[in-house]
Amino acid sequence: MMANIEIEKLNVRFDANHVLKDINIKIEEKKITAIIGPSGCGKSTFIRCINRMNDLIPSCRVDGRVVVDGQDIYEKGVDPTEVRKRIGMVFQKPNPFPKSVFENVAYAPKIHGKPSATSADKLTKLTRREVGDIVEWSLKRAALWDEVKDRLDKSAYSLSGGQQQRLCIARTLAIKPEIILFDEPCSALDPIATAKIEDLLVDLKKDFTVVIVTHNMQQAARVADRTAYFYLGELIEYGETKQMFEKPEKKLTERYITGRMG
Amino acid sequence: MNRKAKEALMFSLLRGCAVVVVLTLVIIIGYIFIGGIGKWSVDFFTKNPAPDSHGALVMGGVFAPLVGTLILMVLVLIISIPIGVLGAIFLVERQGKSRISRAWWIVVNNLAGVPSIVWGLLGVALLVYYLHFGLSLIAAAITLSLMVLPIIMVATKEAIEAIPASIREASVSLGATRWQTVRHHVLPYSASGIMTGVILSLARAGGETAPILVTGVAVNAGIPGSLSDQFQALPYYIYLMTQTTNRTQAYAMADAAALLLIVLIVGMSLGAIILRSRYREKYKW
Repeated sequence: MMANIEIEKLNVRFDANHVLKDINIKIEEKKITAIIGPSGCGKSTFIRCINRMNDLIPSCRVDGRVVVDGQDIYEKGVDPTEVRKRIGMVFQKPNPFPKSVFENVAYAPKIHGKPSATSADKLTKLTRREVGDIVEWSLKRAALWDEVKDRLDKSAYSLSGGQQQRLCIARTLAIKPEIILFDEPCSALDPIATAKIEDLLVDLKKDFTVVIVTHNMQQAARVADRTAYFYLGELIEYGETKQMFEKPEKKLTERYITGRMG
Repeated sequence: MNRKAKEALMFSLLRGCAVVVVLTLVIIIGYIFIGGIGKWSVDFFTKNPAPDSHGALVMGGVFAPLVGTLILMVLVLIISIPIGVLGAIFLVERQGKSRISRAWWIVVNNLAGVPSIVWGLLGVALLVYYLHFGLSLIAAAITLSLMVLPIIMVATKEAIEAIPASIREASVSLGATRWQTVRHHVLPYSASGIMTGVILSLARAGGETAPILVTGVAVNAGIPGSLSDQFQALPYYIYLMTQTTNRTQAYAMADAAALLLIVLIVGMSLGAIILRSRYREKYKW
């Protein structure tokens, strides 16, 4: 499984507003890459380009190449729903569906089905058992199984905020993605719940490529292998996290990291 | 006047207005109840209108008008729900806040204000004569359905827009198509709001006289055997009762029929409230 993301000359505009400018970046597989920068620097817009979530915004125009596993996902003829089946996303605020814990995780496997035995182009429904197995696997992988295994049929809203966020992670794991994008996943959580998510992130990179947007520099320093610093829509600096935090090359990065700006 | 006195004055004014509202309802329902309940009997519900000694149809019961109104409501339900709900979903989900969509909604909102007799006019010109439906149940049902479409559409729009964008994002980010998102999330979560609109519109359709008057209701049509037959209906029956000379009998029958119509509509509203609270339990965020 490869999951290199190569981004070349990415430009994003919302009407006349030029939000991302000539971004070139290579994201390595099975590593955690953190995107940091002050509010409004284009972090979220950037991460939403990788799974084409910006398609939902009519005024958004994306130029450039976003190559995942050798395929430009913005090429003509690429189905964005197929892209999103390979690239999961976890959002800023936990957003479980108003359904049971089980149904939340089972949703994606149920709608996607599996390749049928007779023809590779056709999809068939999963059996109840297969769905159940995926749900259990996903919840275990998201370190939530032990807490919810006795209340799978309870509403997802009966869980705590941190549990809800891990449920959202399990939900996205159920599509068996190669890449998981996290858009400030801890901004609505307390420190203990945050620590659990961070442990989980480090564990997930064994199997998945993780990209995380965070406004919390300590978080980037704790979990990320590589860090990218965005400022006013430009990629200022990108490199090994340790080096970025100890010896940043650019003045702008240093000012942000030391808290003198942003 | 000091501010305490001003407050007291303003609040007695507000209270006065509230009392007018409540009293009106109490008086209407009380008046109809007292006037009509005496005529409620098994015969009233199971017999058709029958003539008195002068030939006025003030005796018997309201069986055929009641059945006519119920059939009308069911037809309106069948015709207007799919068109109204799916149309509104299209405008909200596909068109979003685009200029075209905003123009559409201005049209829809204005349609809601078109007087019912104008809808009747459209029905009689377009359906009855131009499309050769004749004076019929189906012509009346389509006319009423068109009339209530804006109510259903606006209710649907509001229910859909109340769903947080984050839920749609979650579904889309999992690789769901827009239709899958609508089918599995938007529709179920907005169902209670849509249902309220549907019931409101049914109540409206069941109570209208003008549009059916010109498109197919008849004095003594009996139970319609097919969609192209004429029919009877409760509001039209009430109207007829106010037009005859035998007032003591006719007004009592009109009150009894009006009471039935109100019970029908209040019952449906109650049903909607119960359904809605159940759904709220299930889907809340």
